[in-house]
Amino acid sequence: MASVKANPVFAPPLGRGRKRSGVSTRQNGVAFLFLAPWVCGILVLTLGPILASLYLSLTNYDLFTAPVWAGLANYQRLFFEDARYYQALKVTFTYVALSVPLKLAFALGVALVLNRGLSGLGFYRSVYYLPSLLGGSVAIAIMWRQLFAYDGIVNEFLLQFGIDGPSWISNPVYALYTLVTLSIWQFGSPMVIFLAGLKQIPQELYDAAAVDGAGPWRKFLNVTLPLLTPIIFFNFVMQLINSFQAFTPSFIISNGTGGPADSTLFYTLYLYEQGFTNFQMGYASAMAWVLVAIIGTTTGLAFMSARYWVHYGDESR
Amino acid sequence: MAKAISRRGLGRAAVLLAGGAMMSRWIPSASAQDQARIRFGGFVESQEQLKQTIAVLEAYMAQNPGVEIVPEFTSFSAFTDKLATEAAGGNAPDMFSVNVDLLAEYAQRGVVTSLDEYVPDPINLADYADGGIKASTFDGQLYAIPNDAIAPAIITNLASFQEAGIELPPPMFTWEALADVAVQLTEALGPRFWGLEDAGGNYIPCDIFLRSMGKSMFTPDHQFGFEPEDLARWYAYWQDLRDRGGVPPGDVQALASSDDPSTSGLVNGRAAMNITLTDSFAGFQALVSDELVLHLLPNGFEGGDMKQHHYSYAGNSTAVWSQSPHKDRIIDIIRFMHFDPKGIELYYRQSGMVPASSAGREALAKEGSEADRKIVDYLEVLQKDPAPPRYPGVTGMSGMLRRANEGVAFGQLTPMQAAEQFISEAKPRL
Amino acid sequence: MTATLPAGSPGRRIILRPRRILMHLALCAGAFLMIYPLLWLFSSSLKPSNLIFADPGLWPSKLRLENYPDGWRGAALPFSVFFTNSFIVSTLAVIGNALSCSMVAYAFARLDFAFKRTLFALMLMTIMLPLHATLIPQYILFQKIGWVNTFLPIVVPKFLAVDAFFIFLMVQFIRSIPRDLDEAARIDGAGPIRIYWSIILPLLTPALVTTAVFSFLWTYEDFLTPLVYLSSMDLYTVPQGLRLFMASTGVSAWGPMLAMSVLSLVPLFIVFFVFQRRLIDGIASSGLKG
Repeated sequence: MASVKANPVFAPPLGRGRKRSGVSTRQNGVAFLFLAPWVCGILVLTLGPILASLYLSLTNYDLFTAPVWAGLANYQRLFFEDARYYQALKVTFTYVALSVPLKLAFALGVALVLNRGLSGLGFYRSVYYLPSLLGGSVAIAIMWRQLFAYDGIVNEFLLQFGIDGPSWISNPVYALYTLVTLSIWQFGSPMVIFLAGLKQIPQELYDAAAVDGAGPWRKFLNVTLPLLTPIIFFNFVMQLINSFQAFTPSFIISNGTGGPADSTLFYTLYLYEQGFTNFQMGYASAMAWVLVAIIGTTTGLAFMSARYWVHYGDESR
Repeated sequence: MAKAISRRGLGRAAVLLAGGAMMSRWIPSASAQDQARIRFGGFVESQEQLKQTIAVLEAYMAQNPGVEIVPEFTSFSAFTDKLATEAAGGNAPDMFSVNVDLLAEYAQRGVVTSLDEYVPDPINLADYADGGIKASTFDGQLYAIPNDAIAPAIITNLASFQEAGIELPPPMFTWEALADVAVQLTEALGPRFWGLEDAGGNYIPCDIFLRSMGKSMFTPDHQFGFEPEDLARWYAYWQDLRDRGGVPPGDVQALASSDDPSTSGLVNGRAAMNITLTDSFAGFQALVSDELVLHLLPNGFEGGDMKQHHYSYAGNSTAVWSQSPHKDRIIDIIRFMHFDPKGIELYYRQSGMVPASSAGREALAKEGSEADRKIVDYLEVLQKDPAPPRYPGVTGMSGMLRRANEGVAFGQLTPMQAAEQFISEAKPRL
Repeated sequence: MTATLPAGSPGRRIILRPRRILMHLALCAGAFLMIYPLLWLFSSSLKPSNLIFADPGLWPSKLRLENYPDGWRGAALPFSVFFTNSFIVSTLAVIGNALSCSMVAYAFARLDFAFKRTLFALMLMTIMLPLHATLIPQYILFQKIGWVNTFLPIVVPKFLAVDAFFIFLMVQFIRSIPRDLDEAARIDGAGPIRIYWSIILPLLTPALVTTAVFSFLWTYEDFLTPLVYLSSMDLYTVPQGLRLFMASTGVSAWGPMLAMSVLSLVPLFIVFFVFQRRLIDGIASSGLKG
C-alpha cells in the first residue's frame, strides 16, 4: 500500500499515506475525460448564472428594468439596517443546530436497527421513508396543522394528563420547533444513504471480528462505525447545506409568510420574499452570497475536522 | 405542434400521447408562418373558471382559424413567481391575468401596455363598475381590463347566530356594535369558538375603518391618508377585542392565512364571521355545510355619522405584455370574451366570476347559482351609493400589516409601535 | 444472526426471541407514526370538500368516490398527460445522474490531476448558492439558447453532472473501497477506464441505486424548475398538474386534488420499494476476496 499514492481529496497534502516525492503521478488526460460532463456543465450552465448573481448583488435590480450599479449598498443595508435579516439568521441557525444532529441520529439509529436482517425489512424500510416521499406537498401543511394546532391531536393527548397545551404550530415560541420536528420526521434520505453505506461493509470484517471474540457492541465500535465515517461525514455535510437553505417547510406551513411574527422566517424564505415579492433581486442576491460565505465557512470547518475522524478505505492503515 | 386545446377529452389525450406533443417536449413550439401564436398566462380561480376560459379561447380559435391561443395557467402564488421570471427573461406571455395590487408595479416598470388607445373602441367600458376601472388604472392610464367585480364583506355563518340566539346586526352599523356582537357570540358558543376572526392584518377592512374616521389608507396621489395615531387606533381596536374574547388569541388566529379559506376559523368551525372579499364567498361556502351570507362591514363609529364606505373593484383582470407583437389581436380576444354574446356566455357561465359589467351581472343574477346571486345582490347595494374607489397600495403591504398586527397580538408591540413599524416599512415604497 | 453468535456468550439465545418481538413492536409503533399522514391523506381523498376541513377524522362519514375520476379528467387536461411528462423527465434524470455523476466521482476519488481540491471546492460551492438567487440568470441563459418550454433545461443538466450531491455521495463510497482491487487490476494491465467500468461500478451498486432512487423521486417532486421552464400546459409535470386544482380565492377542488396526490404517490412508492430491494440483493458478492 505504501507504494500507492494516498489520495487526499480532503486530507492535507501530507496525509496518512506516505507521499512519493518528486515523481508526478498526475493523470490529467484521463481525468479530464471523466470530468468532461461536469466541466461542460460548469462552463455552459452553472458558472454564468453564478457570476451573474454575484454581479447583481452589487446592483439595484427590480427584475423588469436594467440593473443599476449600487456598489456595496445592498451589503451595507443587510448588515446595518435590516432587523428582519438578523431575525432570519437567528431562526436559521437555531434550525440548523437542532435539526441536523437530531435528524442524523434518528436516521443512523433506524438504519442500524433495519440492517439487522429482520423479517419484513422491505416493508419497514419503505414505510420509514414514506414521510420523505410526501416531500413538501400541501398535504403535509394540513397534516401538521391537525397535529399541532390548539385543538390538534397532540393537545388532545396532553389533555388526558390535564395539560392545556398552546397552539404549537402558530405560536411564535414553539412554531420553529414544530418545523424541526417535521424535519426529523422526514429522516428518510439520510437513512437510505446510511443503509447503502452499511451494505458496503464487507462481511469478512465482521467474521474476522467474530473470530477475535468481539460481541455486537465491539463489532459496532471497531468495524461499523469507523467504516461508516465517510458516509456519516457525507450526510452531515449535506444536511448542513440543506438545513441552511431550508425553505419548503416554512413556505408551506406558514403559507410563505415566515410567521407567526417572523418566528419561522428562514433565510431563504426572506431572500425569496425580497426577490420575488418585493422585486428587490439585487438585495436578494446579496443575501444569497452572504449565505454562501456562511455555508462555505461551516462546511470548510467540517472538512478540516474530517482528517481527525473520517477513515477512508483507500488510505493505508 | 398539435393544437392541444382544440381537441377535447380522450381525443385530446390520444393526440398528445401519439406524438403530437412528442416533438414539442424537445423542440420549442413554433407556429406556421400564417399563424399568430398567442400565449395567455393566468391563475386558476376555480375549476369552472379554468374550464370556461379554455372553452372561450377555443370558441375564438374556431372563429379565427389563423390564431392559436396557448393557455398557461397555474395557481396564484406560483403564477406570480413564474410571471416575474418570464418578464425578467423578456419572455412574458402575450396576455396575462393580473392582481390589481401588482398592477402598479408592472405598469411603473413597463411590463404592461397602456390600453387607453383601445377605449372606447373596440373596448367600451361605459357599462363597467367605476371601482373596477379605477383599480385597473395607474397614473391616469388604464392598464388592464377588469374581469370580475369584488368587494369587501363579512362572510357570516347564519347557523352560529341562530344557535346563539343572537340577531344579525342591521346593514348599517358601527365598529363598536361589531365588537359587541362578536363578544356575545363567543360567550354563547365558546370555549374554543369566537364570534369573529381577527382582521387586524388585512388591508381592506383597515382602509374602511380609516374611511369611517374620514381618513384613508392611501390618497389618490399615492401618499398615506392617515396619521400614526389613526392606525394605532385600528390595532388597539383588535387588541381590545382579543382582551374581551371577541376574536381568537394571536396563536389561534395565526393558524389562518388570509388568502386560503381552508385555513380559516369559519371553515374549521371555530368562528362565526370572517372579514374578506366577495370572491372568496363561493370558496368558503364549498367547504362548510351551514348557510353563509354576506354582510356589510361597519360604516361608522358611535356618535359619528354613518356613511357607506365600501367600494367594489377588480379582482382578476387581463393585461397585455408591453413587448407582444400581437396587441391588436389580443384586444380582439378580450373584446370577444367581454362583449361578444357567445364569448360572454362561455366565459362567465358558471365560472364563479362576477362580471365587471352591469349587463353581465344582470345575466348572472338570472342564471347563476345561489352564491352568485348573493354576491350580485350585495354588489348592487354598494352601487346605490358608491364610495370613492380604492387607491393602489405597495407590494408586500399585506405582510407589513400582518406582522404589525401579530406584534401586538403576541405582546411584542404596543398599538402605537405597530403603527410606526408599518409606516416605516411602507414609506420607502410609496 | 443466531448462527454468527460468538461462542462464550451463554444465555444469548434465550433472550433473543423476546428481544426480536420487542423490536418488531417498536418498529411497528414507529411505522404507525410514519404512516398516519398517508392514512389521513387517503381518507380525505374520499371525502366531499365540505367535510375535509370541517370533519378531519380518519373515517369519512360521507364518501365521494367521484374525486378520483374528476381529478383524472381535470379541468384543462387529463392527468395522464402530467404523469407521462413526469415519467419522461424522471427516468432521464436517473440515467443522466447515474452516468455523469459516477464518472466525475471516479475522477475525484481515484485519479490525480491538477487543481483537484480547488475544483472539488468549486463543485460544492455550486450547491451552496440558493436556487432562488440563480433562477433568473439561469432562465435568461436558457431563454437565449432557445430551450425554454421544452424538457431540455430540466434534463440536460442531469447529464452534465450539475448535482454535486450525487458526485460527493459517490466520491465517499468509492473512497471506502480499498485500493487493493484497483492495484490488482492495474497489474493485470487494466487502465483507468477498465477499472472504472469493471471494478468500481459493480462495487458502487449501493450508491448507484441510492442515486437512481433519489434522482427519480426528487425530479418527480421538483416544482420550481418545471414551473418556470415549462409554460405550455401539455408539458406540465405532476406537481404542476396538482396546482391546477388550487384556486386563488374561489373554490379549490380539494377532493380531486387530494385524490390525485394519492395517485401521484403510488409510482413513487413502487419505485422506492423495487429499488430498495436491489440494495439488499445486489451486493452479495461485494467485499474483499482473501
